Amino acid sequence: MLEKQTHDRFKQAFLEEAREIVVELESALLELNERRDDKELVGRAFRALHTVKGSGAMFGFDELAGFSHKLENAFDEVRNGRLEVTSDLINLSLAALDQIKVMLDEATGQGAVDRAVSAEILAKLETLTGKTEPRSVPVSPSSPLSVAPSAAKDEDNVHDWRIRFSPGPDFMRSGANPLLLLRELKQLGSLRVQASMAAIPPLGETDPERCYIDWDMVLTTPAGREAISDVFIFVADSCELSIEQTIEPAPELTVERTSEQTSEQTSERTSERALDATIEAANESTIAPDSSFVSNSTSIQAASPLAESKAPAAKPPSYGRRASDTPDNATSIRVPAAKLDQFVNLVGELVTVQARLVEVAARREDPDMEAVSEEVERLTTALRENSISIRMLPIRATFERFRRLVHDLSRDLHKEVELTIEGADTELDKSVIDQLNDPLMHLIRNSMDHGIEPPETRLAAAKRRTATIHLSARHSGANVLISVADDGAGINAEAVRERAIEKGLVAADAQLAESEIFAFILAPGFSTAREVTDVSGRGVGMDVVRRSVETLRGTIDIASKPGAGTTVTLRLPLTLAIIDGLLVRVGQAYFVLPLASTLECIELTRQDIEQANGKHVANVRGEIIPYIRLREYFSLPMELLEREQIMVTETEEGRYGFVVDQVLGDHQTVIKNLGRFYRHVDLVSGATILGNGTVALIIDPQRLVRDALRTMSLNTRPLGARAGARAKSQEDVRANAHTAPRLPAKGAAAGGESP
Amino acid sequence: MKNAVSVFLDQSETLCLLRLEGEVDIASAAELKKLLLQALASGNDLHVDVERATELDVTAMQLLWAAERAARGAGTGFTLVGRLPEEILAAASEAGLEKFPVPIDPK
Repeated sequence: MLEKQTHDRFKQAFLEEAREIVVELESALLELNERRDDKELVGRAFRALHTVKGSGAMFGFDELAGFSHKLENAFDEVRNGRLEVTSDLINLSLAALDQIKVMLDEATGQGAVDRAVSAEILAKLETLTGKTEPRSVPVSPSSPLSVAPSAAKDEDNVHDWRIRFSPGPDFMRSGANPLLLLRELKQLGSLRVQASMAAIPPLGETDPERCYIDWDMVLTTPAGREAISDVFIFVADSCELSIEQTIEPAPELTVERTSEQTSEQTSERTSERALDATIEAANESTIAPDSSFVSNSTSIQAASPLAESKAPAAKPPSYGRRASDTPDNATSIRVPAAKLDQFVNLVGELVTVQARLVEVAARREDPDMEAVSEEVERLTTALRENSISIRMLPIRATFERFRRLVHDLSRDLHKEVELTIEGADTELDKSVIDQLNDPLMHLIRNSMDHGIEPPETRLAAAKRRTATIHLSARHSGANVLISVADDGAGINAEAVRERAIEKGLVAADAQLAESEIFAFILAPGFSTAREVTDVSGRGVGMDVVRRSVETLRGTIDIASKPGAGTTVTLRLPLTLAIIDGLLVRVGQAYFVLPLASTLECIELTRQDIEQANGKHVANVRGEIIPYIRLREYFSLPMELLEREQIMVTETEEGRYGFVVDQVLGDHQTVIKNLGRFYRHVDLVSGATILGNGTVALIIDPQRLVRDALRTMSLNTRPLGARAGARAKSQEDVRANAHTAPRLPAKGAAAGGESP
Repeated sequence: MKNAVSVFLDQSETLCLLRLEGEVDIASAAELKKLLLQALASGNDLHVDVERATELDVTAMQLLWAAERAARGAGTGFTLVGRLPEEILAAASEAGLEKFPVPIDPK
């Protein structure tokens, strides 16, 4: 039953891999649509299909294998220049890919395949390819080889290929079977096979699950090198393979091999020959042309010269394996995401416990204990960084997925749109990536539907006929900025304002900054679209974007220029789990500032305060830095201290200081949610539990500065001081709008005056 | 799902009989190796019966080949008994093995 489990595991791995391949294939097809002559892309598509077919058949997904085989054939035609890449082919292939996805879903017990759709796609494919079936490969590895190869169709291009194939140590264990590969090779033309047993060690020393046999083959075929190496595509990493075109006729091989023989091989040969007599009768029966395994009589005749040579190997005889046979061939493993989440959670708990250990050690004043505590701290830090790096994934797959969306929407909306991608290798926490799909999809749909104009309108406005949507990702401190930019018509700020007034979100006479007007777009149910289309207009999309991004503790920034386009930028934290923080104390309260946004720590004396004439600014090496006193901001009990500390942080609004009583040092901060009750508090990005059990709030400097700028300059009470932070509900928006919420100029000492 | 155990060894005082049944592949390779070593260690002649086997993969073939060589080296008999199934012979030839790795008993 262990065997069944192993098989199921392989099956599972195949299904996962197949899904990845389908994504890869989709992006290859869409790129191909733009660069129709790109041979490399055709090759990519072909190889991807070939892998789906081959491994699908290996794991018993015959329907899937058969279906992909037909599609693969079409791309083989393209590759050989017999079929042209057309929009029809691309669209049909994309539809076929969707069908493959359905088949994969069905294999995992989700949904069912509509066979009629498969048949329809295949019928269309046949019409497209003119019913040419270049080579008919049986898709099930167990089915007998019954179709004669079409080796004779192009006599001029038939070549002999010398193929040497040595499976690696883990070849068999990975589920591969060399015999199936040989069968597949045989489909390409006539194949002569010579196996070498020379590397098989004495029985006691064999690893029973390892293939020690090497193969030396001559394949006579019109197929090219690519087609031959494609046979080995699924095992390329676990074997040694050489494919050479032989200029000399095949029998030359025999001569060369004979000359290479060593005395040991010769003696082996002699002993082998002694066995021949007993087996000859049996062999004859195999060579009979009506044998079910042998389909091509030329192959048998051609095989005879090789069979006459009893040389077992072209390699020096040795029981040891090839030099490149390192036991460590596996470079990556697949782990279920849930296990990884659990791992990171445990590391998070460990970090919390470690903080307690540090605390206890410090209290005890026991040098031994302190030494252990330091050691544990070092290890925990390393473990934490490691666990986080394991979770980091490039955003490429998410981005590439949108090529399809853009392609399909362009067709449906009759617009010409090109998707460009930048920074696809930017790495983000897996859970962040998982939650990015929906918001990005809505942003792109919005751009396509509302932002981008039809080609005629664009031409009339002296713009390029083809519009561009630019998806980009880049790091910025502890954040990642992901933006969706289009070069469409831009947002009509006036229309948004009118709509906001109409919906009662803002007073008719309110003075609003452009960025505030754009922020209305994110309100639930807000849409300026005259009509609701399939694509967007219900006002749901942007609300989804806002919610998702808020869940991720991110922010949204919208910039737009009439006629030039719109850019929506999502600022997201790199990770949701653990950050490096700086622990500070204000009175009895503890706070954590993200280390990534902290620049330096300077002292603030009473003298400094007096010199600044009551203004909240500090002079740092000639630069004026406005600061926010957390004590005032959070309305903590006032206390006059001789010395305080200013933590200087870098925010989008410029450099700002936060005044605290004491800086306690760096702190590995496991971010915990504040829970549902506090879900609308956005000045803090969560809380963490300190070693002594105290809860410390994690400050979001960006948001805190923004709020301070808005409220302190207006002499209203800051959010932090309000009893229980309230939601940015419609009332909030309205209230803010009434109190002339024009933002102060960037970098101004807005927090200068005490409220 | 096929039976995980597809190799069996019967030992008498003077003879060992190794039976291979159904698909003999990587799943039973470790067992096959163990039984072959056990049989060879007995010093008795070894008869291998593959009549009821439906498939021998390369791991099985190379183990039989190595065992045959070891038996020959030790001077004990190593013979194939029973009829050799066509599919297996065909697979051996397809794999480029010029002959089945074990001599067939002419009887």
